[in-house]
Amino acid sequence: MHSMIPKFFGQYLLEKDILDKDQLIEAINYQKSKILKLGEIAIQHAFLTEKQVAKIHNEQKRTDMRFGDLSVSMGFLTEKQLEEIITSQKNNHIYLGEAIVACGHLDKAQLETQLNAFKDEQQSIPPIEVMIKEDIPHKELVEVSVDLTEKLFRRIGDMISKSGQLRSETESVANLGVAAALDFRGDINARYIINVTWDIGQEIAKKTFKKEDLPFDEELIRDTLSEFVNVVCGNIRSKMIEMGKKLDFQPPLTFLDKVDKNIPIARGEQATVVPGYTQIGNYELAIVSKI
Amino acid sequence: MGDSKKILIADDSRVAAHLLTEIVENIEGCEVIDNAVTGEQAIEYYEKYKPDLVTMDLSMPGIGGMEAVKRIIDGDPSAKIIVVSSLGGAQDKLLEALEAGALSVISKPFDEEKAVNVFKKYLGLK
Repeated sequence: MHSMIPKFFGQYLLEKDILDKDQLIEAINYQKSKILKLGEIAIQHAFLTEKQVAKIHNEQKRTDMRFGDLSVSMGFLTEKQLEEIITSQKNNHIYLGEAIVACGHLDKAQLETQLNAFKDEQQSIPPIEVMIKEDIPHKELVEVSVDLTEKLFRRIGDMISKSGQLRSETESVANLGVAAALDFRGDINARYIINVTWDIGQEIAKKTFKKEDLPFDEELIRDTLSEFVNVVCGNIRSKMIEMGKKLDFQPPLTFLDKVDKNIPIARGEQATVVPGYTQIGNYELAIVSKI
Repeated sequence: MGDSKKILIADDSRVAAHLLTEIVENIEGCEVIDNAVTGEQAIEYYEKYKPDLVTMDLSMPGIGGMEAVKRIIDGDPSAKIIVVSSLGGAQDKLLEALEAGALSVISKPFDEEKAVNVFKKYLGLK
């Protein structure tokens, strides 16, 4: 079966029982050991002194900024120098496959066979297809969220969904029936909200439990939506990490229309709301962050 | 069912726990003995039941699944734990879980066939 969700090569090898976990851990650690840190590269290029690197590290403990951004904002590196060391870091990393061969767990021919099989499996995963023209906060996160939400509606709920024209809200979002929210923290601080009609909620529950005659049960629908958001956001997190953004999150919160007619937006925050349409009904996806 | 393999499911989502239970109970010779919903409860139930295998969700209330993996393995290095996570696609979490002592990872949404193969492999079932 083809997977719709991206995974990394190591997980594939583990699942296929081609490597055991100790071999995989050894290869990942070997790969990591070959990656020079930005500070080390900047020292090699004579852009920074060891003292400056230490100062940046100290500053990093107080802020949640990344090394590169901080070195520019502290005036130690120019944007151009930062770009140069990032490129150098990218060009000098080794692939997990090379690390596996270096550790002696596969030979080159075996690696090639496995890489081809992995690529075949991953080819069925469509790339991120959503492109937003408007200038909005955390555009990348919104694009990835819309894309993966649509894909998981299809995969889990067997629903074809299409996104409509986005809008901004600053006070609240009207609850369509049942909603679930999850807070991302890290390089981006934002809340993901999925807001669906009870019909869509019931459809996701039916498909999740593989029971077309599933009785309507509000609590079950709420729990299913909550789990749906966990899965969607886990996949968003993985995709954002691939794009260089570190994110973590806590278990989701839920809102039922009987109790919360509106999903509140905190003062000083703004929601980018993307409406979605499916054969079962409408939903809205929102990304809320500080203005 | 005296010889059946005992599986403990640690997952705070009753939806995920239900789906995993269905997968496990479709494997001949396997039964789910209980469902822990926090990291602390997973440790407590591990001690109580000494299951043959634990499925551990990483995002759970309390100390969370990752910490529970570490503490269970500390107490019983032979514990068999499979991490179940929507974070499985990310290398960082996978590595941390494996280094903590988990044997493998199953990604959400579940691919039933792969999940069954993983369970069978670590339970020594054909």
